[in-house]
Amino acid sequence: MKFYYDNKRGQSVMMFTKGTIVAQRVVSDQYHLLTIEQPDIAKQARPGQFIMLKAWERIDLLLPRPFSLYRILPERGQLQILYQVRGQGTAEIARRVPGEKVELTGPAGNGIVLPEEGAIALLGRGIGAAPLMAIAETAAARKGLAVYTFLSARKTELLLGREDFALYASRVTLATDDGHHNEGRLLTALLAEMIAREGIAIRSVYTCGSRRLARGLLPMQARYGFTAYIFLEETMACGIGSCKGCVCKVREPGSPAGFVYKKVCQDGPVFPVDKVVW
Amino acid sequence: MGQADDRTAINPAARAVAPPFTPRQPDIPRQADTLQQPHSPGHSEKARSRVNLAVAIAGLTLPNPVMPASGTFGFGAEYAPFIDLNRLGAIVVKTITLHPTSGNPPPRLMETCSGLLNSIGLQNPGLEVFIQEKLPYLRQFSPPLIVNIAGRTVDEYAELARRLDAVAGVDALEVNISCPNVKEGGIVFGTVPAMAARVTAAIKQNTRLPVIIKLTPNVTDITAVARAVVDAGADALSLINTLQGMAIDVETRRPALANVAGGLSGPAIKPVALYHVWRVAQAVQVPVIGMGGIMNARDAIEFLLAGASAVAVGTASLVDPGALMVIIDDLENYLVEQGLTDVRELIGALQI
Ligand SMILES: Cc1cc2nc3c(=O)[nH]c(=O)nc-3n(C[C@H](O)[C@H](O)[C@H](O)COP(=O)(O)OP(=O)(O)OC[C@H]3O[C@@H](n4cnc5c(N)ncnc54)[C@H](O)[C@@H]3O)c2cc1C
Ligand SMILES: Cc1cc2nc3c(=O)[nH]c(=O)nc-3n(C[C@H](O)[C@H](O)[C@H](O)COP(=O)(O)O)c2cc1C
Ligand code: FES
Repeated sequence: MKFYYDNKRGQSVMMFTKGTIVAQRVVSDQYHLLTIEQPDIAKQARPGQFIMLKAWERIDLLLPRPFSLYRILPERGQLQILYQVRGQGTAEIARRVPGEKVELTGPAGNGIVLPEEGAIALLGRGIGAAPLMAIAETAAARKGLAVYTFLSARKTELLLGREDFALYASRVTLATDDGHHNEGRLLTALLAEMIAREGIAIRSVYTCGSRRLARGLLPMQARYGFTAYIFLEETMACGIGSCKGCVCKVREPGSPAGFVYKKVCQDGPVFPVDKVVW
Repeated sequence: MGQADDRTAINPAARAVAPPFTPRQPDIPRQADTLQQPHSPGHSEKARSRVNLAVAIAGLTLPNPVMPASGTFGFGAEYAPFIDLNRLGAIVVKTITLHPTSGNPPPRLMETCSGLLNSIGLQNPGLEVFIQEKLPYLRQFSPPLIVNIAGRTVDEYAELARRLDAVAGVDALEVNISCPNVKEGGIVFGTVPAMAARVTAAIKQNTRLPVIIKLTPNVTDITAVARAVVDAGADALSLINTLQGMAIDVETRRPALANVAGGLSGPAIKPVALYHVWRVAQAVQVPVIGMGGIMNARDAIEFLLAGASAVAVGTASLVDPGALMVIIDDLENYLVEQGLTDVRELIGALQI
């Protein structure tokens, strides 16, 4: 399984440490952007990786929660996560204010390998935009690499990070279910249309936030000659590969069942869509 | 001991967990503080070096009584970036089965109030891969290596014992008997004293290694199983394995775990675990390794006082990968503060 990610983890050292909250901003309704100062992780982290974050000391709330890195800012020694308030853990995180300390483990998981040149596409649904931003920012630093971003959500306010993407992406295409943007069309259809209309050769597609989107990319791979990857999520406990709690089914032709369970935290969180058993 | 306002006694850095539902804290007391500075100020190196932490279990000498709990420590390598494995009392690996086991479908985890439900289903690469690929790495560390095994039949347990007896680097076997006997209607080995005894006897016949039987709490009388396996030759006991439990998603009306039920671990089970350890320690003559919800040194000390000769830490390492080191350091600090020179003075020292 070492063919689709940058297996440099041996060189980056995962750590359990603390960070300081620098900023907490409400982006929209239940969505917040949290900036944490943690230079050691910021220096090493690569797009696609995540952190396990704990921002409370309640003993009734045990486990740290996994969050993708939205932005990695090594010069400032900072990390940003874009998160949705869902349950108790994220509600606690939302209560933290600048100056407070948090515990974090990272950088966890495998970073992705970006092509040196050509074009890539990012397809994010809702909060699924979070891990894609770090890719867009890193890709923008490579002269020859164009990034086409496609974001969808129920309504305009939930199109997360669109201003940030506009800074780095060659183009940002939006779609909302309420029809306000692009008549609420599927991002896969918009991507296909762009490729067909402009003849852009997309090499890799990264998607997050919707399994339907990822499945939609499956038949497009052969037709358009790209490889599509999905950021998978599973409930996690350790985030470091020790508990085997966060598995997903990955195709393995030689195995008795035709698939094996891979750990999202250690073997992922990014997987080629055609390897995932849906 | 035991008084709530006494909680900072172990560690002056006041790392103890604050009462639940505190609004906002200006700064979160952190375990990492003690990680980076293991020897808290105030205790001279001299005082510390006079303290004995070593304990003996089933013929093994453990440099200290704190070890990881099987299944929460992978095969050790996962924790190497965070802790010094050579400082552990012992290394305990995930349950190994004779053949590779793929485990249960996800979701396998659900956090509950102060607890964690898991239904991993013993996912492991099997004995052969363990010996070929995991053991060489584990051999480099000095603490005793305890290999946890599970079988689906008595014969599988026997074969695991026989094959592990023949490889270098294994110091003891811990036997997970919380799994179903496929030959006898799927009844969990550890729930029937006679069946648990048969597994123990079969393993003892096939190995010279010390055998630690790990008891399940999902029984009516844990001391009956404890006595049966000790009579069958168990050199030590470890307990408790997880308690059966479940959780339901009220929106979807579906079980939170794909496997419907799972094993509960973490602070939620500590009083139950402690009670079982206390009862078993009195019922048998062999040493007991206590576990279940240990999050800090104070919890560990409770188990020692209840009669455990050593303790295992599981869920706490999932919460904080450095937890084992903090517990070892704080245990030592506690001894110094109490003016004790030997951790063995705590074992079974409960006053009633
Ligand atoms: C690798 C990875 C990266 C992630 N990145 C982000 C991110 O960048 N931004 C973000 O907002 N969230 C992200 N998540 C999801 C995030 O971890 C969960 O939303 C969070 O753990 C919920 O915690 P809670 O205590 O608030 O909710 P809980 O009380 O634990 O759960 C509340 C609700 O959230 C659902 N939920 C819990 N855990 C997850 C999960 N892992 N995935 C999806 N739903 C979940 C539960 O089913 C429940 O309905 C990521 C998850 C993974 C595995
Ligand atoms: C994720 C997870 C996996 C576990 N896997 C095993 C296992 O493979 N074999 C075993 O004997 N016990 C296993 N256990 C049980 C623990 O070893 C321990 O008995 C239990 O969790 C209680 O301790 P704790 O509360 O400190 O976690 C597992 C526990 C957890 C949480
Ligand atoms: S969360 Fe523990 S193995 Fe992935």
